[in-house]
Amino acid sequence: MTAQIQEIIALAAVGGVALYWSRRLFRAELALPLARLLLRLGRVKWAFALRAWVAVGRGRSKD
Amino acid sequence: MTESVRLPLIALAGNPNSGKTALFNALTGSRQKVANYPGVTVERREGRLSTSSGKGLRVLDLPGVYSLDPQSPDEEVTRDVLLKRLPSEDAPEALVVVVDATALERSLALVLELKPVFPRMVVALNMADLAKARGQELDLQALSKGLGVPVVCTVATRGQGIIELLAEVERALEASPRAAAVAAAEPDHSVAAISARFAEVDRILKASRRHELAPSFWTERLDRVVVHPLWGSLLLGVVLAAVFEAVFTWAGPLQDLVDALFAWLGESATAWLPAGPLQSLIVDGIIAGVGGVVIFLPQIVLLFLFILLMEDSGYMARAAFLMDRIMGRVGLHGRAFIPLLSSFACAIPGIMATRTIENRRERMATMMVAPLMTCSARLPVYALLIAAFIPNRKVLGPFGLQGLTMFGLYALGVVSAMAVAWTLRLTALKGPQPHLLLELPTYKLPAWRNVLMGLAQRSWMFVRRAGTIILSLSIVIWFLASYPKSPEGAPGPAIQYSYAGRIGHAVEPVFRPIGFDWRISTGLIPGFAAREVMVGALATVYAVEAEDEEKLQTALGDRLAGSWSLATALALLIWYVFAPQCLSTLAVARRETNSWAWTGFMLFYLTALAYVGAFIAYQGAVLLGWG
Repeated sequence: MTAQIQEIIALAAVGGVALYWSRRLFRAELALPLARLLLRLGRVKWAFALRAWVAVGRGRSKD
Repeated sequence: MTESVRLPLIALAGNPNSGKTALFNALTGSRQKVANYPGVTVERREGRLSTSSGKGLRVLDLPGVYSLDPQSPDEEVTRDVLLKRLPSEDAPEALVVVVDATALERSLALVLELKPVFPRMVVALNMADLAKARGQELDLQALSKGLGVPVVCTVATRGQGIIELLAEVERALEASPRAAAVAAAEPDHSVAAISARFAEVDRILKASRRHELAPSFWTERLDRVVVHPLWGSLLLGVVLAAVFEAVFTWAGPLQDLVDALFAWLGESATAWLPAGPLQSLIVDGIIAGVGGVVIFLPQIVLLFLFILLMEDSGYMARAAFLMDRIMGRVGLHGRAFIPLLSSFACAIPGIMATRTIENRRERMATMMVAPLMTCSARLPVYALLIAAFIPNRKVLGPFGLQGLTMFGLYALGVVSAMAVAWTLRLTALKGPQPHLLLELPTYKLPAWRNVLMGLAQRSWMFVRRAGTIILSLSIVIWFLASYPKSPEGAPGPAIQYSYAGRIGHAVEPVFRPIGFDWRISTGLIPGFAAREVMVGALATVYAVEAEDEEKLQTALGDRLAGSWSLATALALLIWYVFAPQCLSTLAVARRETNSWAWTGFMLFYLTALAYVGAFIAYQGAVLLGWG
């Protein structure tokens, strides 16, 4: 395995971790306030889609 | 939707200490899933079973309650599940109320309160063997008729009465139509209604009890010593000292095994992968990072084992009762003793254990001070610095200066926790003096099955955290310490050119007044993820080559002794007594307080204490000529 391929795999792992935690943090802490803001701005469809996404995640993990 | 979701759900409810969890374990065995209820951090335990007729059922173990008028977050969950107020939860189709046969008056009042809410009910008269041994004789038919629900005798710890109980549950599920299972009416909590329920319990027991329950022989005699103000306190001191001794000495060989396992993993990965960034990520990042945390698993398992044994035997309630006098002086609840004791292993289970404290202010104060208890992650840092800077000589008879320094750091943590709790209870968390209302259960021999299952679940939670949060942080820290790479032919260690090194240089002016240079500042950054990471980070910064932990500590210790002053070492030790350098603790504090403001406050006040403490230690030591 060349150093270049090793580097790509290592950086992909770092990127994957960053993506996973930002998605989790967004879903747990930011998605609902954002949905409320969207509702206030009249973007009803987006707001409900966001709330449904949060609810699906909670139902799946139960933690 | 999976098959298990469609299975009928039965819930187990009952008073605390009624043997509900033992019954749950007997019903479901190892087919259990432990998680949290959505939005709160109350443990949710669900399991599966098959009845003798082959019918599959799901069983939900609800937190213990005395009534449907909740006093704590746990009790709120039970009420909300039973009254169908949790939209994410399926409504149970039948309810099993677990009743302690040795405390019928109190337990049956709950049955009468739940009956109008949940007509599809079966009563499990648990600990029937203990009640019989104490002379109680019951007419089960009369009891069942009086209550208006089926009653089955069980001894959950021995698996007795389980088949009969399940047969009654099946009958209950078939007898009444599903729609009538849950009436979901709000129970009446007025004094008149409660009095009426207890009067009804007296009437039912008069009609069904042929022989009264005699007082517990052993409990009465043991309590004469165990809850005695002097002898009880002395005994508690001996028990706690024995627990600490066992945790620190027994865990040693097991920790060596874990260490050897991770060393072998590191060596195997080094041999298998050619040198390069991926090998560095796996060996220096993941294996070193996760191994550094998993090494504390034996200590945590042992501490949990003692806590579970104390809980299961009935001693823990007595310990909380004895500690209430001391805790009460600083405004903490007697129950705060258990979380604070757990925090000596790790603040995470300690903060989670505060759930048993009913009052929010007292619970919050306990959570805020739990990180001040010296957790096992501080030990590697203390051991490294004390060995390098404190002379190994006897000062007070058999006591050495190094041991006394270690004891002083532990004592400083405890005293600071008490002072902070006292201050919080006088200011932000002001409220009436806590009162301890505690049920002292009868003494029982711990049921090994329950203890081992509890231990396995708690250990798995710790390992899972190491596999998620710590693994992720190890990868991120490795990235920060490895990129960007040093220019070719550049002098000094490569970390100096990395993001972590640059951040270390940037924050150095802030830490200079407390005696920390850029190298220590660089080590503090990964150390924010977990305290013990600091040792590895310092080793990297000082470019020390080491194969194993011991060699690493010796070599690093010599290097530090040659480059730092005693004042810097003392300042760093004091920094570690207070500094909130554990992201997992902060994450758990956020979940348990359900507040970013309180988590932010915890981070702020601990950092401020650490900075002020380290400043005083450094400047004081410089004045004494140790700089």
